[in-house]
Amino acid sequence: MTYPLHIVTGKGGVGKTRYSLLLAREIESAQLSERGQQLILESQKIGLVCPPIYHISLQDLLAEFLMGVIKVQSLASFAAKSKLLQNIVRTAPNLEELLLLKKWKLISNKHPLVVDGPSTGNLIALVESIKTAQSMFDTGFLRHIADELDQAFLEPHRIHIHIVSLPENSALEEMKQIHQRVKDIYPDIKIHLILNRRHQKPDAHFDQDPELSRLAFERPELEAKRIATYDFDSVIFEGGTQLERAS
Amino acid sequence: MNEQVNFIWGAGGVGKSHYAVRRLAQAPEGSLLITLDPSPRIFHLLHIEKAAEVTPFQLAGRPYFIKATDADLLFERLNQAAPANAQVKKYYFQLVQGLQEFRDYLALIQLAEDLSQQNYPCIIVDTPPFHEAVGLHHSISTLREFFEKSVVQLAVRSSFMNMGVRKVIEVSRLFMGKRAVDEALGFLDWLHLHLERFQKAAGILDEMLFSPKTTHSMVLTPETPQNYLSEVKSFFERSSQVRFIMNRSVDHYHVEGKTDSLSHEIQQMQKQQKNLEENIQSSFQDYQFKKIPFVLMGDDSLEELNKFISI
Repeated sequence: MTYPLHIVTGKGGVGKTRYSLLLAREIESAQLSERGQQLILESQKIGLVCPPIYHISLQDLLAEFLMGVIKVQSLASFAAKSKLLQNIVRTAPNLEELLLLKKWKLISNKHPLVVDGPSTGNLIALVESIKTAQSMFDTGFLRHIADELDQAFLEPHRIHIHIVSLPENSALEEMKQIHQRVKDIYPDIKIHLILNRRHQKPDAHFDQDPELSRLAFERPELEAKRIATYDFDSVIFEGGTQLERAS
Repeated sequence: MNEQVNFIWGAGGVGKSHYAVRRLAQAPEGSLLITLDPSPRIFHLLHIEKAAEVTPFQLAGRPYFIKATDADLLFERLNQAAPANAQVKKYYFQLVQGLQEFRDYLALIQLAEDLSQQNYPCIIVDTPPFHEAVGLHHSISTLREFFEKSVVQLAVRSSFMNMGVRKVIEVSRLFMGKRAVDEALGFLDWLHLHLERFQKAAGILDEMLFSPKTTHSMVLTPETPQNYLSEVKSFFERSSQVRFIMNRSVDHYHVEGKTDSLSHEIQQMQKQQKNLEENIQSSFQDYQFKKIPFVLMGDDSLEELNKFISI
């Protein structure tokens, strides 16, 4: 049995890390993955217990990849330390992304996995890496990896993409673009849209100076206009640590 | 020779594009705004079409110029100098699509060439959002290294090529297939023809970045993580003129002792802003500091932009 792989993306600064934590909390026995070290910091900030996290380095990716060819763990680990080989992986287009996807897929063979993923431009590179690899490599181990990943992306409910946005024009626009780009490559893939930091109007007794009152009442209205044409799956209100299902 | 160059840095979502336009409006007429950001955000703000060539436009009734760096345009220039075959062209654009660092390097090479050729009273450089926070700084500081020491040099088929490296490349055929490796090597051979040009561009950029005539502005908001400053510290320490901009500043709101949710939100942000300002004071010397108060924005109209410019 395999489990879903959830990849969280969005414009820089929209709250991917927080959403990743809240999503992992919702999914039974989910684990988390990240490239940086933000998950623990964020979980401490919002008072959430953090599930197990996989930190994945380029050296780890390379070692696992080489194991597929060399078949001897100690040799593969030794070769993976080579800066030249790491440079080759970095320089080859989409290669690092391909290896990363393979690793996440492997982990999600054992547990549901939520990846605090890359920002939108890099998510596109990630998704495109499969098709790029299929067009570049006629044969060989990398072609085999690309074909396996392609199958996973085509399998219903195996891969979920979660796009987080703020109720701001630039973030919403980027969400729309990436939604379209991913659908262009994999039309049937499951995509969830999440709105973070939505502001609510205060109650009628809100008593503040005029400038703050204006902010309190006008901001939610402005946001409502901006998000009117979007169909969000979940909303996180400003300062909140709950995922609210959008009505 | 350009009088002054201003680099605008900042994480995604801090209002960097808005600030870059604001800086331009403060610069002499006829100044140039170059954007390295692959997204057309700044063009949307200005309500003009994205342009890879220098394009005149009006801002607050005054004439300025704008251009975007563009991988296609650079390829055309490189192709004119040394024609690429169809396979090399394909590989180039795959790298552009698939490798963040490569896109950064191309943008920087174009920037260096533009800066050395153009004459403007002032040039504002809008940088892309950071990739893993360090991003473009790292790309700049390793640009020279990339073209001098990287696999580009090592993998070239020359009589001086290290036999061990050749073996590694041959072994790569096992993973990638013969065609992919031959394409990669063909691309590297072509790239090598332009090596001197790239090295020259890297040198120009390195020299100009830390020139006394160059200002580096870092746009922050009260929500910028504290550790962000330590990641950019070594870069800014080398800079002659550094400016920190606290965009969406909230310290002008009076919310002490209030318990509603908005006041609580602002109180948190005020605390974060204060910590950030103290962090800047203790970590940096000889810098300018400016605050732009929080303004409710949202329709991206020219009217709104002009209002932001004049705050």
